[in-house]
Amino acid sequence: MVKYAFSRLLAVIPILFILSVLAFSLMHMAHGDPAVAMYGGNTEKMRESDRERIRENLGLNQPLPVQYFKWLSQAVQGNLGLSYLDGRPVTQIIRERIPATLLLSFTGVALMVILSLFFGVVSAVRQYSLFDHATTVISFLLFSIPSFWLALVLILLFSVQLGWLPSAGMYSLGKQGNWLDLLHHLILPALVLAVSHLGGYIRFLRSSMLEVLNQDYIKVARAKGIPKKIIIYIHVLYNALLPFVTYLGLSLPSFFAGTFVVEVVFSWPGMGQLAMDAARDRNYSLLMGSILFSGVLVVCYNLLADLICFLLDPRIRQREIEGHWRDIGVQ
Amino acid sequence: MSSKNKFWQRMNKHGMARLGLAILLILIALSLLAPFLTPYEPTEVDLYAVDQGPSWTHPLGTDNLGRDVLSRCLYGGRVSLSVGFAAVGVSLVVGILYGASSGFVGGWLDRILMGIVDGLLALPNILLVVAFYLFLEPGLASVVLVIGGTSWMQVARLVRTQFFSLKQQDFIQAARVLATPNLKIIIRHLLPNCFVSIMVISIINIGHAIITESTLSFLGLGIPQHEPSWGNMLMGGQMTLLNGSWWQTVFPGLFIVFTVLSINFLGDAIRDALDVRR
Repeated sequence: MVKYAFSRLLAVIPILFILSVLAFSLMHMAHGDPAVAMYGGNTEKMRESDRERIRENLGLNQPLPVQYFKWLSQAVQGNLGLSYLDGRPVTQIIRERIPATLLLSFTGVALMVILSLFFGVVSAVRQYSLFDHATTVISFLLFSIPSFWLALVLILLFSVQLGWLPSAGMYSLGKQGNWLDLLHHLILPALVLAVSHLGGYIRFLRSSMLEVLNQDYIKVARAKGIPKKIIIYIHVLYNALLPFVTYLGLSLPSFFAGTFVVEVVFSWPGMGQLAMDAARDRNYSLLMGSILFSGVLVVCYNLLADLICFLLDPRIRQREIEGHWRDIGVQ
Repeated sequence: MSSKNKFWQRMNKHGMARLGLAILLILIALSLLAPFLTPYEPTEVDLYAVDQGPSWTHPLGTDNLGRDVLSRCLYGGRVSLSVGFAAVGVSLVVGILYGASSGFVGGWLDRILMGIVDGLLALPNILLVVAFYLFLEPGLASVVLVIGGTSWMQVARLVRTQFFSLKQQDFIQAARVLATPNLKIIIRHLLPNCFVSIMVISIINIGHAIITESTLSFLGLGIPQHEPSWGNMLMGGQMTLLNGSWWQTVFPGLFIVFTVLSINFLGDAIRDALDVRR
């Protein structure tokens, strides 16, 4: 277990390195003077020497590798610099936004897993039934719908026409901290997030269920007279879930991207909204911080998915044990 | 010849493919023939007809500046479709060059190049797109570059994997033995064998590119506001959504959904038809 976790952790290091280089170079290659971001239109009236001083204070006149390593040593200590716009530490701003994003994305993932389990399992068990065909058509349709448009249509339906659900924000005015109100605000964004990604997961689960159904050990279980329900829900589903968990881990970046867009549509005060605002304001330090944070978050999720797979799948454990034997010279 | 016939047979059997192709061709024709189909210019402002619902004079209604939604949808199709196709073109050029060098050279170069791809794929795509976009002047060409420049990773991976397995095969070994120049091996022997899988992935990518373009424009980071595009229209639609002006949101969105749906149908059918395992 520890060895497996460690090897996965080692594999992540190059990814993190590339991520950091990417985030750093993005900020430095971007055109646009940080002085403009700090002082807006007033920059025009500034003297050249003052501009130069600002650049010097920000350390922008040193060679790039030096800047990178300075930045990196600060970054691993949690210091990502100050936001150009309001001068507050980037890490602090992001930390304020993380809970909202985590809440939304976890609820979305949970909802999505529940829905895809239901549709995937039923349509695999009743292959070629009306339900199966309908599910296929719907999941195809969901593939082709941009999530923000789905959000707009649902707002139109549930907020504007029916007036059931709020269309924006996390709390109503004066109800900060009221969890019922939070839940009320959470329904639409989480639903959009789940439904807009559902198509791929349903199709994936359906096909991996069907694959397992054709395996020999399922035939053996049937021959032994084990009740069909137990076969499906214990033997088939359990084995079909393994690739599903891996797929879930691999597709998390796109799920995160979905969260970001949904946050913007629903004015959900999370990291996505923050990053988009930072991009629009050309607030590079904040944007870079958001990119780095979300990249690290995704990498952590991937590790988590790997470990869950390890715990669930004896075949991976077996492979590790065999590898261990090979290492110590036993064939 | 016979395998080609079988290909078309399978394609024909696939009703979805025909449907997808038909819808796509209709949408392309609609956007090309836009000037003949609607009397209004897409940018024609009519302040006496602001926020009007669907009617005989404006079949899909008007937006908050009194511009005709139908003609904006049709002209918007030109922008969205051409961005989709062009962006995939860019991603193909980058992806093939990248994947081919990684797969052909192999070794440490391959490890570094694929590490970079892994790093890029670990990021939420939209962040990459937004960050990249900040380098460029806002405009159509930038949108194409950005979407193409952030969606080549899958193509690169595919080409690299195919090169790796093809390199082991006898005909490549034979070409090597005959001292064929490397470039010729790549262009004449390796790339043609990747063509089919590249095509399938590219068709699906066109749909993705169209969705990404509309998302970017919706966020106000894509096609400049004065140009009609489906994403831009939705951005405008969001502002009047709470007044109940549903037509400004529903219709441009339906154009996107139908376009992407038809492309996905087509891509799926082609993948099925070309699947050698059948």
